[in-house]
Amino acid sequence: MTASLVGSTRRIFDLALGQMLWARRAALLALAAGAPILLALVTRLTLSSGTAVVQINGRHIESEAVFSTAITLLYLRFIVPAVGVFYGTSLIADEVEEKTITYLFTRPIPRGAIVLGKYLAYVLCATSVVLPSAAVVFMVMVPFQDMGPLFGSFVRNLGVLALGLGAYGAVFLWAGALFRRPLVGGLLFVFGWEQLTAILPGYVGRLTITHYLQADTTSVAVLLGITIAALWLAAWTIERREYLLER
Amino acid sequence: MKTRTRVVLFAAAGVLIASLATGLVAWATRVSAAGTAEELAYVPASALMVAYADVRGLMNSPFHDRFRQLQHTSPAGSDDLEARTGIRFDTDVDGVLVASTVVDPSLQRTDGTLLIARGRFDAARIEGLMRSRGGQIDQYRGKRIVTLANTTNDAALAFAEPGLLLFGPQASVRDALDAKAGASAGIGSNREFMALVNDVSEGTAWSVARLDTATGRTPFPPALMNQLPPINWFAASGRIDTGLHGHLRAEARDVQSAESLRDVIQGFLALARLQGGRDPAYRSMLDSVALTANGTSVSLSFDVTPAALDLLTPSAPGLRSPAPPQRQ
Repeated sequence: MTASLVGSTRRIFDLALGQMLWARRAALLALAAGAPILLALVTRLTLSSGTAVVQINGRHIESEAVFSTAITLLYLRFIVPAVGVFYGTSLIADEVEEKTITYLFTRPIPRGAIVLGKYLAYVLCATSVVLPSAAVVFMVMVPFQDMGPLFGSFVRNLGVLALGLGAYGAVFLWAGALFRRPLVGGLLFVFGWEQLTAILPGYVGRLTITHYLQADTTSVAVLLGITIAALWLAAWTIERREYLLER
Repeated sequence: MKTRTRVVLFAAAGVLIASLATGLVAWATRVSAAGTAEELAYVPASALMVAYADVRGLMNSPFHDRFRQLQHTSPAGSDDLEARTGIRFDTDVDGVLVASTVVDPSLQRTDGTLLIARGRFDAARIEGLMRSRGGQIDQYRGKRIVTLANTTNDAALAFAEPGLLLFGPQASVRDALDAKAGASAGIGSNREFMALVNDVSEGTAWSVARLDTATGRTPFPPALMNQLPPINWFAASGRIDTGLHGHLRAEARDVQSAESLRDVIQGFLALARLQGGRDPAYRSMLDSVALTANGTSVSLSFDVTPAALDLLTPSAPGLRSPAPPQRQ
């Protein structure tokens, strides 16, 4: 007898969350969260002491502008895709690699619950590390009296980061369900294809996730669409696919 | 869920909530400028002067009703604006922000006045009108810009957001989109400027200007500036309801300049009292004037009451109180 989808998802979620937070891969997550904070502290101290100034095209850049640059270049271009690809691909692929997926498949739970439970655990794990990191960077970089005008864009940036983590995670979860070793392909996608299309003219950029995370072209509908479609495809793949485990 | 997992999640949530709460407090303490915060995001850091008018508040005020009655004798300028751009100023526009940007000869930049209007616009009609005059459609930072560039015109128009229109010289409109995208510094990064904006932005209309007299970069005529002591900043605001409550503030270069400025204003006020003290309309307005100087800051506030307005607009039929019956 198969248990309900909600109950099974919750059980998988509980199991996966603990594994994720305390796995060796969590060191990457800690690095992703800690490096920008360290960078922000150094930048803020340097800027406030007046020992250095940041200039772009000859214009003096204040710490607030450095914060928006950090969100765009550091988080949206690097940290969010990196966390998405490393964690997303591992959700199913690691279970196959370690031959532990059999234990999950033999439980009386819908296979879709494995996808959903692991995905939700990933989203909670990634957002509870990346979003506080961005929030601390905001607090460090922006003086209190200047936070007011930037608060709206700060909240918007947090939303975009969460949507980005969700979309990348879902896409690479599907890739992990589909391919045996999806990490290399995933890295090529985020650091090859997505970076390349940023400099290509025309509409090619629309075939990337990062396009819908940029300030000018953010689309919540497209990001949610990508996430839902990728999750459905991942669940559909895992329901039908027979995983042959190597001896 | 294990205890240590819970601790990590609660700690993360705590950091996030603390940051959001701090940002919220910062936002709430400057809530007066919130109405214009989105428009200010388009103003580049190089702006010399920013002026804002809450057109909706102004149009709905009893003060405006009085002037609408005066329009029986004035030309209908708004009809001309509607014919040229399709914009009905009194119904379509909610607020207007005007920014005067810096003249920078080293970058071969001309002076530009950027207009940022929020309201309800017929984009197709406005674009069509500009195109019929030779305007070209262009894309910049993902926004459509209609540019009109020839020997006599240098204008660009962009619908930056739904209901938000940018209009001005091409360079100014592009600078505004750069500032919004974070590609260049915005006026929000100028703490002195924003402090003055927060001070005056409660008004229905306000303006903040940087008076860099050393380089000759001022939005005011040099002839006027030469008559005044050195001033770094000037701010003005007006709250309009049944009357007008005005507040002017100048930040002088030093304490001595502030005292000189206060003396100059006191001299003008004494002259005004001498000239118009007999007229009850002027007297009530002059009586409301309060001049204060604190350090380098000189402030002047005044009120124009509805009664004073009645007396100041004698030519307007029906605006004055009915005349007392004449004795037979």
